[in-house]
This record gives sequence, C-alpha cells and structure tokens, in this order.
Amino acid sequence: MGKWQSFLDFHKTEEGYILKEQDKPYKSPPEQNINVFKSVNKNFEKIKEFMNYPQSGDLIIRWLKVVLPDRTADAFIFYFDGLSSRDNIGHFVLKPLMQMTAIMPPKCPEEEYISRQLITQNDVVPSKTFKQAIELVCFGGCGIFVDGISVCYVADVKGWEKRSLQKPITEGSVLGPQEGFTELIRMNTALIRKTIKDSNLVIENMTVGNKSQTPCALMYIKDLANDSMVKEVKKRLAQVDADYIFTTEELESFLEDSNLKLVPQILATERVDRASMELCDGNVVLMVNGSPFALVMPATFFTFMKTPDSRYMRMPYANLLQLVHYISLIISVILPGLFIVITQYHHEMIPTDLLYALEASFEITPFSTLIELVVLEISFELLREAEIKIPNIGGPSISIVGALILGQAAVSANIVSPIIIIIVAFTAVGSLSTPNYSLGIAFRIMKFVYIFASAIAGFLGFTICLFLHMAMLCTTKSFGVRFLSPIAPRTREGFLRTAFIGRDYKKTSKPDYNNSKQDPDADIKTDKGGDDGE
Amino acid sequence: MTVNKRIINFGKYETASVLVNALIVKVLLGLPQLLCKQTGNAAWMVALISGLAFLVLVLFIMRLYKRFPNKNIITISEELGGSALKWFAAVLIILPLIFKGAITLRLSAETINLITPYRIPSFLTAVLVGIVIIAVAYKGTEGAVRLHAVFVPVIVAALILVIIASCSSFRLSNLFPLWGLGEKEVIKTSASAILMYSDLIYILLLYPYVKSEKVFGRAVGWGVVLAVIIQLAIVLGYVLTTQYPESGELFMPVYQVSRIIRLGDNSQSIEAIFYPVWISSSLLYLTLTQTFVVEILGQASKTKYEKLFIVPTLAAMFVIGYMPKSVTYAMQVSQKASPILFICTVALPILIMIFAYIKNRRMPYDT
Repeated sequence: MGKWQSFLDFHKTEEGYILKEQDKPYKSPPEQNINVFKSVNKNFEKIKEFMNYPQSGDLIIRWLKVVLPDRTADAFIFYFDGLSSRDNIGHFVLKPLMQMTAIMPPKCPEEEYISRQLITQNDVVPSKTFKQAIELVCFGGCGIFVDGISVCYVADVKGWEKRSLQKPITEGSVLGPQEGFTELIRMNTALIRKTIKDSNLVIENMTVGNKSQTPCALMYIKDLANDSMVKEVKKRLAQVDADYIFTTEELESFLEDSNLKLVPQILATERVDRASMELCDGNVVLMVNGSPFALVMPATFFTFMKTPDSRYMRMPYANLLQLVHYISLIISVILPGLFIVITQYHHEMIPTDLLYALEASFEITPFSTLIELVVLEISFELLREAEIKIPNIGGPSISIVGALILGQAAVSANIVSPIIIIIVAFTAVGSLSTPNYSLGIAFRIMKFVYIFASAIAGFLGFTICLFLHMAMLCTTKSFGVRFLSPIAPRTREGFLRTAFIGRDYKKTSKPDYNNSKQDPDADIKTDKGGDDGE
Repeated sequence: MTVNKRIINFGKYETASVLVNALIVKVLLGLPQLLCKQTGNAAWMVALISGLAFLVLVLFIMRLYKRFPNKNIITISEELGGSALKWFAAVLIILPLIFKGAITLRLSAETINLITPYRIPSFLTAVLVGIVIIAVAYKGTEGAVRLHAVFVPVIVAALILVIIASCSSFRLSNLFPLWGLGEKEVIKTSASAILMYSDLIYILLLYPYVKSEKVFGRAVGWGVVLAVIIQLAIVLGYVLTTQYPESGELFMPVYQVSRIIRLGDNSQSIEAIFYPVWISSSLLYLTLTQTFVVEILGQASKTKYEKLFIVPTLAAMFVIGYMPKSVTYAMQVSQKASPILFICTVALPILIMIFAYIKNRRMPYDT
C-alpha cells in the first residue's frame, strides 16, 4: 500500500486530478500566524520552536528585567548576529529598557509605554503575530518580548555588511553619472528617489518567495505609468510560486511573457540613471533585495539597444553610437553564417584576387570551413566564460592563451586559416559591443543556428533562418507590448525616432508603446498592435 | 467574425505591406518574362494598363466594402445565405488559395534551385520552405502579417536598388517599336493580365483585422498604388535592359536584371546578395496564403483548433504543386487556370457582396 500511497494522494475534482493538501507547494507554516502570548515563557518556547534555537548558532537571545510602573517584568530580546547592529541594539534597545524605565514615568498604557517612551530606535513595529515578528527579525530587526504584554516589539536595527556604491560593471559609459545599484534594496530605492525627486514616484514594498519572503520594491510614477501595466506586474508578482527567490534574475523568468523565447523580455539594468530614465518614460521598475539589478517593464528591442550614453551625448555622436550598436549586433549574428555562404556557395561575389588568397589559405588546413569556424567560435565562448569567472586572477593568462595558442599557434600549425580568425574576431568584437548582455547572449545562440543553416543550404538556409528568427521576434511580447514595436507593429512614434536619437530627444513626450498616461491615445488604445497613428 | 472580437489588429503600414508583397511576388517569379513573350517590347504598357484597370477594380471593391464594416467575405456570405453560402464561399476561396500556394511553392523551389548553385533537390527545397510555412502558420495571422512589415520594406528597397544599379545598362531603343507585337496583342494580354490579379482576395480577407475603415482604405490605396508602380518599374527595367526576343525567354527576370550590376573590382557579380530578398518574398506569400487558408477553415467550421488544419492543407499544396511534370508545365497550368481563379476569388465574392448590398439596401448605413 505504502508504495502506491502517492497515487492515492491525488483526488479528482471537476478541474481534474489535483494533489492533496500535504503535497501542495510549501507555504509559510500556519502555526506562525498565531498571536503573541502574554506569558514571556510561552513566547520564548514558541520562538525556540519557530527559529530552531539553539541549533541556529547566529540567533542571539538575551534575557533582561524591565521595570514597569507597577512591577518588574521578565523580558527577552532576540536577533541574528551579523544581521543586526550590536551598537544600535545596545544604545537604542537595551539601554533604554534596562536603565530608563526607572526614571521615565509612564504617560500612556503599558502596551504603548515601551514603544512610545522607552525604545529610542526610530522604527519600531509592534507585532501581534509571531509570523510578522519573525519576518522582521529575519530582515535585521530586533524582537522584544515583555512578560504580561501580548505584543512583540521589533526595532529596525539592520546592520549587516554591505557593498558601497560602485560603478556599474556591465553597463559602463563615458558620460553621465557613474552610480550603480548595490545589493541593498533601501539604498537602491533611495538612489532612485534622489534622482527623480517627484512626489508622484510610488515605491510599493512587496515580498516574493513563499519561504524566503524576499523584500522587493515596485516603482512607478503614478501620473505616467499605465495603470493596467502596474496592475499586470502586481498580478504576475502575486502569482510567483517559488519557495526561495533571491535575485531579480530569478524573478525575471517568473514575470516574463514566455521564458522559452530566446530574447529577454524584461530589461535588467544596474545603472541608477537608466532605471530613473525608464521610470520617467512611464515604465515600471522592480527591485529585489540582494540584487544590484533593476527590472524594467515593458521592454522592446529598441529599449535593449539604447544606452544612457545616447542621452548624454550630442545628437550626431549619439546617433553614430546607435548605428555602431546596430552594426555590432548584426555582425555578431550573421557574419559567420554569411562568410560560409559566400566562401562555400557564392565564390562569384568575391573579387578574384581575394578568392585566390582565400582558396590558398583553405588549401593548407585539414578541416572544412564549417568545422574551423565552429571550433574557433566555441573556443572564444570558453575564453569569454573564463574571463567572466576569474577576471582579475586569470584574466592575463587567458588573454595569453587566447592570443598566442588559439590565434597564432593554430594558424602556424595550419589548423585554422587566418581569415577564419579574422571573422571570429570581428564577430567577437561585435558581440562584445552589443549594448545589452542578455540580448547579446540570445543573439550569440542564434549565431550558431545561422552558421549551420548556411552550411547546409547556403543562402536558402540563411534566409530560412533569418525568416524564422524574425518570426520569433515579431511574435514576442513584453507585458503585451510587441518586441519589435515600432517596426512590427508600426506605431505613431516611428522607427527612426525610436531607433535613433532625434532632435527632440529632450521633449516631454513618452514612448508610445507603453501607453503612458501622457499619451493622448492611452485611454482608447486597447491593443498595441497596428497603431500607426491613424 | 467582426473586428471587435479579435485581439489583434493591424495598421496601415502592415496592411499595405501585405498587399504589396502579394502583388509583386508574381512579378519576381516571372510575370515580366510572360508579358514580354506575349507582347514583345510593349510589356511595360501591359503592366501599366492592367495596373490601372486593377486600381479601378480595387476602387469598386472598396466602395462596395464600405457597406460591410468589420466583416470579411465569409461573414458577409453567412449573413446573406446562412451556413450553406458560408461554406460555399469558404471552399470557393480556399481551393484557389491552395492552388496558388501550390504553384508558388513549386515555382519558388524550382527557381531557387535554378538560380543557386546548390545540389539540393527541388523537393527538398520545398520541404525546407514547408517547415517555415508550418512554423509561421503556427504563430497565426499576426506572425505572418508582422513579418511582412519587417521584410517588405527591404524587398522594395532591394528592387529599387536593382533598377537604379542597372540604369547604366538601359537601352531606350529597346522600347521600340512602341506597340511591340501589335496593339491587338497589347490589349488582349492586358485583359488576360488583369485575370492574374486574383490576389485581390487578400483585401477581402484582411478587412476584419484592420483597426478602422479609414485605415483600411488608406492601406489598400497605398499598397495597391505602390505595388502597381513597382510592377511597372520592374517590367520597364527588364524591357530596357533585355532585348526582345531574349526578354521572353529568360527565367526570373528580376534576377536577370540584377546579374547586369557591376561594382567594379570590388566584386565579380553581386546578384547572389539579392537571393535572400527573392526567397523572402516567396516565403512571405506562402506563409500568408497558408495562414489565411487555415484561418478561413477555422472560421467556417467555427473551431478553436484551427491549427490542426495546417499540416493537411500544406500537404495538399505539396501534392498539387508537384503534380505537374515540370515547372514550365506548372506555369502553363497556372496561366490557364487564372480566369477560373479570378472568377472564384474576385468575381464571385464581388457578386456575393452585391447581393448582400441589395439585401441590406434598406438598412441604415452604419449597421
């Protein structure tokens, strides 16, 4: 029977077979929802049970006596060592509780006396339930139980080690501010608030993860962001069913329209100015505690292709930069495939002198162009991965290995032809110049598909691949917004104004794909498709 | 099915792109050669006359269509004659669409094999094309139409580039004698050329997807005018670069024009760079045809599972497309069938609309 018990755990409903209660995804333990007791000993027993004391070595519980107006009560505080500031606890919790009670006559009921008169820490939450108290303590708070009072006071004494503000690592720029987000959510929201200075900027606190209860902040400018967009983000956040979520990258896959698509549908940025700009364009930004990236929703292809630099530079420079970005992306995807098509199937396109040189170089190598290209591309992917993993220690060694062994030695040994090295190098430079890392990865994968399709069927394979690639991009959506907007569908804003920087880039108008409240047609537009300003 | 029941809608740009490609694909695949064969140097005149006649026809249809906002021909038929007429109209449209798709599939596969140096059998090329059709048809009408918005501007630009780049090879003497093989031939060929515009059916099918009547009118206007201009430019360019009777013999005229282009010492010949453009145009046409076949079948049978029709209808296209022994025979069959196709896809739907118009004459204009 026992072996088959798991089958019996399913029971049939009108909606089909579902799991019984015990097999449902883990939720917060229901026992923690119970109210705090008046007896401090009972509370201590519960805290021991819920917080696995004394197995949890970093949980500190300290007993003390609190002198109340008519009695002396037993009390204890509990907090996580390293997560809370010992100094703050000493100065603003223990000292008032143990010393001030004698000299501070009560001016309010006993329950309020502690939080309103004694504890001098600026943020104190009186929690009625264990669940709330434990959640706050897990986020750097210090809980206080006093005998005879059925409230747990939690003082905000966060004091963990944190990284200071640094330059963005993956989104460098020459001009403009150089502030990047850190892992601390409150510091990040403060950076945004400091940049935007608009009272309509709303920062909603939320939590994700059934067990981890990771704090996150949903940000939008109330008089700009489309209400239905904000609602949709909240809905998707509420639907996230995962026990532990620690980073925006993890959360991204839960929020995307489809995580089977190659291209990202949410922009992740670590730049404060970028996140602020997107908010000012009427987009919604989400931050997760513990992650230095902000998620921007919705995001189109052109959102990924723009960099903050393009706003800070003069129009001609900015447009040149944009053009370079598009060229680099195109090179990173199609150059190897195109090279195979031309050298293997369409020699007539190559000038005669170059053709002789190419044929001579191919003649001395034992492998086909396809094999050479794929092997070198894979080698470069390995080098790039190694460089990311150990940039400081292994960086120089990897460069030497890459340049000397994979480049010079391979050519000298007649394993690969020099032209292949040039093509791979061009592709690599194109790929590294792609403004967005996630988009770059998506297109790097496609590069291999183009290579194989081109090798199999020349321009036919190449075109089929291009066609299917475009079909995939055309049908991709980010929170209902078409990924290729404003090309397909074409919107009133137009391709040139979106893809490049126009003379009116400082105007107050917002991108029309997100139907911001400043868009005059926002109320009547129910669908982002086919809006060409008619 | 009315537009407000649909989730997607298309704008002017996308609708015009669909019409442009539907009308110019046959020009890319061999219409100029056919016209040159029948009228000699006056092929451009046939393109002009048939193009103008086509514009008049479109104007007439658009005027009729004003009476049926947000409805396609299937819905109009259902309202006029119930389920029987709905199925009649559906079959009347689906069969020609499958036939046209089949011939285009065969022509495209054979053309690709002829102009490219690949050793792939034509049927395998068609299978590769078939895979693309299935993939895009699975994405639905939206995917197919949005693809037009991406590719058609590139195709049009490539065509313009080919014509401009081949300017140096234009010989004005090729235009004479002005009436080519004779006035009678020009008039006769122009009349038969109009019958080749059975792709007009896309206008009758696209309407429910377009966001408003005004946008639709503009889109059709732009699309058709642009297509007629491009068609005229290609035929004229072909006539100017290729002398009769050679112009009546060469396969895939636009490709032949692109072969003339030279870039000095930078390249031996660059016609291959346009292969993706010609292939894309055929792929766009085929995917759109397949999508609409599936769409009409779904609409007529009122099923949610219309995607189940993708493979069977594509199989039908393959069978019909590979029935003719050779591609020349396929082209001949296509030419002979063009009056029937025109009747099925243009004349009868117009007739249905006229009857529906008479039936609804007493009803208020906007109901």
